[in-house]
Amino acid sequence: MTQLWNTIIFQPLLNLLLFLYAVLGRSFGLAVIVFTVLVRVVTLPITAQQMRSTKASQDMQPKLAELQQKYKGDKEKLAQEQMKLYKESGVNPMGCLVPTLIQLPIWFGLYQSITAALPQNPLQLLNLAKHIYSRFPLLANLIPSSLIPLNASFLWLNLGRPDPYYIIPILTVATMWVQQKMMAPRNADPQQQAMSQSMELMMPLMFGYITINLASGLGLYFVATNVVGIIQQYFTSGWGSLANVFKRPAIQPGASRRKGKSDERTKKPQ
Amino acid sequence: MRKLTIIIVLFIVLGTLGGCTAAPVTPSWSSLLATDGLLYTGSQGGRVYALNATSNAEVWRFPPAEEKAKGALYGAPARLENTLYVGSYDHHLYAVDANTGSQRWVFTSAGPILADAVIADGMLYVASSDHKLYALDAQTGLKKWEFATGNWIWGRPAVAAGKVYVASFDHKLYCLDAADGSKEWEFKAGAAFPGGPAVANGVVYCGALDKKVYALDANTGAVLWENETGNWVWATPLVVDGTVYVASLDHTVYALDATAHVERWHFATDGMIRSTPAYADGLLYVGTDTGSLQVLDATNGQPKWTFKAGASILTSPVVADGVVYITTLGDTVYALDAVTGVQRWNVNPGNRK
Repeated sequence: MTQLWNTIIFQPLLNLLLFLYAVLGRSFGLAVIVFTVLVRVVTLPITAQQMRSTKASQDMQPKLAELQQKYKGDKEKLAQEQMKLYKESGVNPMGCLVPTLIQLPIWFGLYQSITAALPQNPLQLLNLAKHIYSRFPLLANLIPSSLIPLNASFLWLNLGRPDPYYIIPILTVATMWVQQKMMAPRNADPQQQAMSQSMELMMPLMFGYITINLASGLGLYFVATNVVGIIQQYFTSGWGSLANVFKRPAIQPGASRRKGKSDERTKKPQ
Repeated sequence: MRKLTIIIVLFIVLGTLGGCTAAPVTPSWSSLLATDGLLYTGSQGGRVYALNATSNAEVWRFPPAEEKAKGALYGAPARLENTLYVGSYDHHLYAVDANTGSQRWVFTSAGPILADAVIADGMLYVASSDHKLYALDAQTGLKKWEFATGNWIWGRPAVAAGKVYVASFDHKLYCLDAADGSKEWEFKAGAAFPGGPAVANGVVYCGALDKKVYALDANTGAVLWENETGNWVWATPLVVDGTVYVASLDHTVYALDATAHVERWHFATDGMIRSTPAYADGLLYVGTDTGSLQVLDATNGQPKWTFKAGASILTSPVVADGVVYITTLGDTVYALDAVTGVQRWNVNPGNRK
């Protein structure tokens, strides 16, 4: 099983990363960024499906809210009607999960590749020797041994070690939060909305926390992949819920005169 | 529900990633030294053990069980009279009493010390991952001089005829004056030098990540010959009676004529060979990362016997008093009859209380 994993996922990713390092002026940071873009391009069909599914799910929210209101006391009927709605709209409720699961091996492979490419001790260097394509002369020429050990310096970072200034963890949190916000469905149910918002905050914080202890090369990958994801998401569904973050909250009728004026200013003409 | 499932999956992934990186333990391969009926071995747990070479009974451990362990130990200990020297991943080189294990002094570098310590003419040469080679007074630990290279030094230096030869990951092999550390010459290879050089009969031999082993004139650094293998050459070449034995990560041991650069024989083993083979009484002992100890006739490369250990053999076997000792990744030490390969004992010193 390990052999299969190494042959299909880990070794191709590792050697691609090393090749990029060789051709991109021996900058590991640049190699990680280009590597990320390439991986995002290759997995574009999967992520596009995920984004379409998210968008369709967002569009369904008002109808789902109506159903929840209508079948408040009958959970069984509500579930039936929800499934019916999903079917009619051509939306798979697990549409977001499947692409995520498909991308998991690539995530693991990337993690392994970035840490393996920057050996810090002899055992790690020996591990690298086992996975470089050295037996195939053509491929070996593309990744010359003179590259090893890789130059791990990039901007203020040593990519084999955690970021001492915590900039990468902060960027990870920020970019992930923006992406999550753009993907988040406009949920009419206040309870679900609250849960959704809490998750949108928890996930980036969790990633940020883990990035504090990881090699900053992996953090750089997270930031790069989030930025590419934000761009993809923008062209699929626009700013999404992120647009609401910077809007002033709508004021209920009966509020003070001053607030009412403010409300009028923010209202768009029908 | 859908979102919750995704969150759970991602948390598992993150937990796994976090778990992979949280452990601060630095694994290492331990190395051996056999002398005066004692067998000294380091451990990835950060302790040095002195064992009775015949019975494997523990004589002492450093630091003692009740004290906190040091950093992981890669390099082989070196002994001068009653002092044992061993470098550690925690950036320190420890000098301890060879009979009792009590600490005498400690030297601190700015990086992990992975290379074997080398003693010559009362001096102790310590190579560090802080890119420097240090020359210390072996008695006191006082620094005499230091020499900075451009990258890590993981291989042991070699000393001969008043010169010190040290190879670095900066692709260069340096010849220094042993008295003051001044540079005499340097040679640049096509890739990094992960291991150390060997010197014999006025020639310096060293392997590199460009898959080659180089033979250089010890006085001038001029290339006498070079030989390409199928993978990185990490092990320090071994020179015995006019033959250079080169072990490569391409699984093969090459026997080359030291002067004429003619291949005498080669033997393909079942795994990568990271460490220098040991030679004794016409036999060559070769450890592989697949856990095999392959014993060959040094004159023609014919296999004599093989021993399968339970884990990778990444450091050099040691032969003393008719016994070959090996240590595996995970620190199990085996004692085998050097002629027949029959196992006498095995022990993992770190597992003892």
